[in-house]
Amino acid sequence: MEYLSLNLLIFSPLIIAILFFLPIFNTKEVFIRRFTKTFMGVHFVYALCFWIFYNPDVNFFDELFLFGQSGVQSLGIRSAFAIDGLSLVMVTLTSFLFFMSAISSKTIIRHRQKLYYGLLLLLETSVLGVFTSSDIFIFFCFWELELIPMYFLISLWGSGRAQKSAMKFLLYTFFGSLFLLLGILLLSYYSDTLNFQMSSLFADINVVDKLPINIQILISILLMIGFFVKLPIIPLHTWLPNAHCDAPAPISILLAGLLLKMGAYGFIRFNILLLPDAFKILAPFLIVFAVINIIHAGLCAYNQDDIKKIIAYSSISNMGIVLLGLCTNNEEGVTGGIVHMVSHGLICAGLFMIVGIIYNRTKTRDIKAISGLGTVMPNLMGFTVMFSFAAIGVPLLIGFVGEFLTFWGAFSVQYDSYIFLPTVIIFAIFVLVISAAYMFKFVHRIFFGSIDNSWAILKDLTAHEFIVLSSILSVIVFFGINPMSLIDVINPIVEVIVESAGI
Amino acid sequence: MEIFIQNIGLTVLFPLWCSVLIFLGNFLSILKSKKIILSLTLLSTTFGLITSLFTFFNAMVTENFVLENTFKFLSVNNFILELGTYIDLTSSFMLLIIFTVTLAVQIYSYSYMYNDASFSRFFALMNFFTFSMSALVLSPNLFQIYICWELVGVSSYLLISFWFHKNAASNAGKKAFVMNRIGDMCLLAGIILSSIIIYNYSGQTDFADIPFSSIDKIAAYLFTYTSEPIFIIICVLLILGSIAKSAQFPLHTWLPDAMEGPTPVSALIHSATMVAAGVFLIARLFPIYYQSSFVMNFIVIIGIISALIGAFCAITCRDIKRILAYSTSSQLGIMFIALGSGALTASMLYLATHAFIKSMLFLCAGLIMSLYLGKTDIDNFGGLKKHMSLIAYIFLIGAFSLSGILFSGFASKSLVFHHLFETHSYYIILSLLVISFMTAFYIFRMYFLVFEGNSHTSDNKKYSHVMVVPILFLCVITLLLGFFLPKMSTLKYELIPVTTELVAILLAYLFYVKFVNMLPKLPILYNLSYNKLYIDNFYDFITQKLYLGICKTANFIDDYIFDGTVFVTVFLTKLNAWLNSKFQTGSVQSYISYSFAILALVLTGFCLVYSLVAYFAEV
Repeated sequence: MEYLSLNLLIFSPLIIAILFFLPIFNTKEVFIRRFTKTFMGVHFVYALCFWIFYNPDVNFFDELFLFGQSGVQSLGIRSAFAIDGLSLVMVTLTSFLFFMSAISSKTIIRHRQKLYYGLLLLLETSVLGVFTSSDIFIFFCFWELELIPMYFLISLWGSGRAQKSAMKFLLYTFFGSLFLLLGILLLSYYSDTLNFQMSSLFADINVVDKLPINIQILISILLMIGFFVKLPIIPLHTWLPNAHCDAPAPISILLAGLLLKMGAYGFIRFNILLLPDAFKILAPFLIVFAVINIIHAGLCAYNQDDIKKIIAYSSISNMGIVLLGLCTNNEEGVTGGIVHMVSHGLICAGLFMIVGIIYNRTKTRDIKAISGLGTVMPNLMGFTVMFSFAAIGVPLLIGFVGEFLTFWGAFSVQYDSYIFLPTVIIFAIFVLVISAAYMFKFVHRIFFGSIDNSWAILKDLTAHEFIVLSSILSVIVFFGINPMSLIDVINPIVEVIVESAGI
Repeated sequence: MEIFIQNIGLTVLFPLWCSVLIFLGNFLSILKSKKIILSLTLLSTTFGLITSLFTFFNAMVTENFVLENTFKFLSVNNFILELGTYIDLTSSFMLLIIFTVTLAVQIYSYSYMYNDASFSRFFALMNFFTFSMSALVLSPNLFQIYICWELVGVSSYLLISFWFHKNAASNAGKKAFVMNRIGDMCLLAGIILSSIIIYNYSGQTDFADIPFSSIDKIAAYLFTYTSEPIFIIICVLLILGSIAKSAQFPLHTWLPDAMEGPTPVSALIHSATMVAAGVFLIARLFPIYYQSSFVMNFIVIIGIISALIGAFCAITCRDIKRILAYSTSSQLGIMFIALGSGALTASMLYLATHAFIKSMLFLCAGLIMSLYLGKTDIDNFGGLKKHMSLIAYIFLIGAFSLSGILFSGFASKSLVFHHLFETHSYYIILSLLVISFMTAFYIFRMYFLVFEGNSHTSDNKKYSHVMVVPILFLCVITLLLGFFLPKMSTLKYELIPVTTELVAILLAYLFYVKFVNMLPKLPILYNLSYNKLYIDNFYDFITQKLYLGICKTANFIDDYIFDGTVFVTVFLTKLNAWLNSKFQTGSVQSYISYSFAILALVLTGFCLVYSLVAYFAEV
C-alpha cells in the first residue's frame, strides 16, 4: 500500500483537465468523451484499491510539495492530505459517482464537450480535495474551488432558468462560505495556527481545548452556517430545488450525491471532532432542526409538480436524517448518519438519473403531463421502483440500514436536561409514511396508469443509461445485504466521534 | 428427515433463487418457457412443503422443540442484529400452511396467468413473496420480522399493481402500500422502543434484537423496566403493525381494494398468508401482551369492531372478490378476538382452517371470473350450478365451513366458543354470535346469488381442469382438517352458534331464492353498509384534502417565507444598486457638486459635534 499515492488520486483529474484545455490536445469530441470515461474508470479502480488496502491502524498520508515546500509554512499551512475511514468512504463514492456521471453525460451533453469534461474533472479534484485535506486552509480552498466548475456546469448546460439558478447557487453558497471563513479565521486567531491536522487519527494535539467555551460556541455556529447551506438545513435550503431542477442530469447526480455530503463531512470534521464541547451544547437544538428538516421537506416534496423538485426536496429531507444521526452522540446513531450519507448519495444519484432520462425523452418535467410510461419503458420503471424502495428504506437495500440505525440512535438519545427532545424525535419516524407518499406519487403518476398517445413512441433505456442505473443499483443491493462491509470501514472514526463528543 | 430440518434455511432461499433466476432469465431472454418457470417454482415449493411437513411432525412429537440458526447481519457497538431461522411449533405450523396454500395457488396460477404477457414477472414476484413470507415466520427475532414485514408488503404491493396500466390497480397498490406503511412505522417505533429499553435498562445487550427464544424473559424485563403507560404505548404500537397487515379497523380499507390484483394473489397473499402475519405476530409476542389486561382487551375490541365492520360491509357488497375480502377482514377479527381472550391455540387453528377455506373460495371465484371475462359484479352471475356443479358443491362446502356449521370451520370455531364459554366472557360471545350470524348470511347470499336462481347465460362454460385440481386439493384439506383438530365435545356450547348460523342461512335462502327481490332495503343500514360506513370517504378526505392542505401550507412557507427572505434580500440589494446608479450620471459637474454637498455635510456635522462637545465640556 506504499505504492498508492494520495496525491495522484486527488490531482490526476486536475492534470487531465489542464491537458484538455491545452491547445495541443485532440479536439475530437468523441475522443474526449471516451478518454474522460476511461480515465474516470481507471480512477475509480484506483480509489477502490485504497478501499481494499485500507487498514484502520495504518494511515494514508501524503503531502504535496510545490517548489520544495508544502504549503505556506510560515503561516502554518501545509498542503497535507490524509484518508481515514470516513474520507475513504467519501472518496470512493466520489470516484464512483463521477464515473457514473461521465457515462451518463453521453446522451444529455451535446455541445462544447471539451469544456464540459474539463470542468467535470476540475470538479472531481476539488471534491476529492475537500474529502481528504487535513489542513483547514487547504480544505477551504477546495471548498471554494468547487463553486467555479459547478457554476459553469449548471449555467452553460442547464435547462430552464439555468443561469439564474446557477447564480443563486453561487451567491447562496458564497454567503455560507463567508461565515465559514469567519469561523476559520477566528479559530486561527485564537489558536495561532491554520494547520489543524483535521484527520482525527492525527488529532493528538487538540489546540481547541484551550479556547473558552463561549468562543467555541460562536465559532461552531459560524462554521455550522457554512455547512448547513451546503447540507442543506432549513431555512438555508432554498438554493437547492432551483439548482437541482435546472442543472443537467449528470450534474444533478453530483450535486445531490456529493456536494451535499460535503456539508455533512465538514460538519463532522469541524463541529464534532474539532469543537466537541460546543457541539455537546448545541446538539439538542440541532436535533430539533433536523426533525423540522425531515418533516417539512418531506411535506413540500408531496406538493411539487416538477418531478425533479420532488427528488430535490426528498434529498433535503434525507439530509435531515443524516443530521439527526450525527447529533445523537451514540455509536448507533452516528453510524446510521454516515451510512445514510452514503446510501442517500447512491440512491439520489440513481433517482436524478431517472428523472434526467424522463426529461430527456419527454422534454417536460410536469408530473401532470406524463402518465403510463411503464407500458413503453418497462426497464426504466423497474429501476425506478427499485430506487424508490431504496429511498423509502425498504430492508435489504442500503436505505434501510442508515435510516434504521439513525432512528435507533435517535430514540435512545439521552439528553436529560431537555425533556422536549423525545417528543420531537418521535415525529422523525413519520418520514417512513411521508417518504412513501411522495415517492409513490412520483412512481404512480409517471409510470402507472393508462398511457397517453403522445408518449407511445418513447424508447426504453439505452445501453449507457442501463449500465449506470444497474451499477448504482447493484451497489445499493450489495451494501443492503452486507452492511457490515461498510460499517466496518467507518467504525473506527465513529468510535472517535463518539469518544470526543459523547456524554 | 434430520437433514431437512437442519437445512431449513434452504427452504427460505430456494424461492429467492427461483425468483432471481426467473427474473434474470426473462430479462436476458434465456428463460422463456412457461413450463420450465412453473417446474422451477413447483420444485422449490414442493421442497419447502416436504421440509415443513417433516419439521412440523418433528415439532409435534418432540416436547418444546426449538432449533435456532443465526448469523450476524448488523452490529454496531453492543447492538447486534442477527438474522436466521428459528423453528418451534408455531413457526413450523405456519410454514406448513404457507407452503400448502402456495403450492395449490402456484399450480392454479399457471393456467390462470398463462395468456398474460407478464407471466414470468408474476412468477418471479410470487416466488419472492414465498421467500419473504417463509423468512417472516421463521424469524428468530423481532427485527427479522420487521425486515420481512416490509418485504411481504413490497411483494404484495407489486402484485396488487401487477396490471399497472389499469388505473384502479395502480391506486389500489398505492393505497395498500401507504396504509401498510403506517402500520410498519408504528411497528418499527414499537420495536425500537422495546429494544432500547431492554438494551439500556436491563443490561442484557444481547437481547437487544428481541430474540423469540427468550421472549418470556424479555416480556418480564419490558414490564419491569417501564412504567404502565409506556408499556401500553409500546404494546399498542406493536399491535398497530399487526392491525395494518391483518386489515383490522381502522386500517382495513386497503384489503377490499387490493382485490384489483390477479385472483391467485388474492387467494395466496390477501386471504391466507400475508394478512395472517398480523395474527402470527401477536401470537409470537403473546407473553408481552399477556401482562397487561388493558392490552388484551384492546386486541379483543379491535377484533370485534373489525369483524363486525367486515361482516356488515360484506352483506351488501356486489363484487364477488370484495365480499370475500371483507370476509377475510372479519375472520381475522375473530382471530384477534380469540387471541385477546387468551385462546392462543384456538386462534392459530382458526388461522389454519380459515387459510384453506378462504383461498379455496378465492380460487373458485377466480375460476368463475375467468369464464366471465373478468366481470366481478354479482349481478352478472346466477344459476351457475347447472354449468359447473362441481365448483358449486366445492363452494358450498367452503360456505358451510366458513360459517362454522360443518367441517373444519366448525371444529375451529367451536374451539373458540369453548374457550369463551369456559372463561365466561359473555359480551364477547354475544358479539361473536352476531358476527357468525352475519357471516353465514353473506356467504350464503353470495352462494345463492351466484350458483342458484336463474341462469343469465345459456352456453355451457368450459373451464381448464388444471385449475380444478388445486381447488379440489384445498377442498380435501378443508374436509379432513376438522378431524385432526382437538375435540371439545360439549354440545351445549356448540348448539347456540350453530342454531344462529342455520337461522341466518334460512334467512338468506328466503330472501335470495324463495322470495327474490322481497328484501326491503333498510333505509339507513343499507346505505351505511353499501358505502362501507363511509370510512373510505373519510380517508379520502384525509389524504386528498387534509394531507394535501398540510403539504400546501408547508410549501407556502417554503416559497414565501424561506425563499421570500432571500427574494427580499436580493430585491433590497437591487434597489440599493439602482438608487446608487442614479448618481452615476457620468458628468463631472454633478460629481463635483455631490462631493461638495457631502463635504459640506461632513463639515457641518463636524462643527456641530465639536461645538456640542465644547459646550458640554464647559458645563
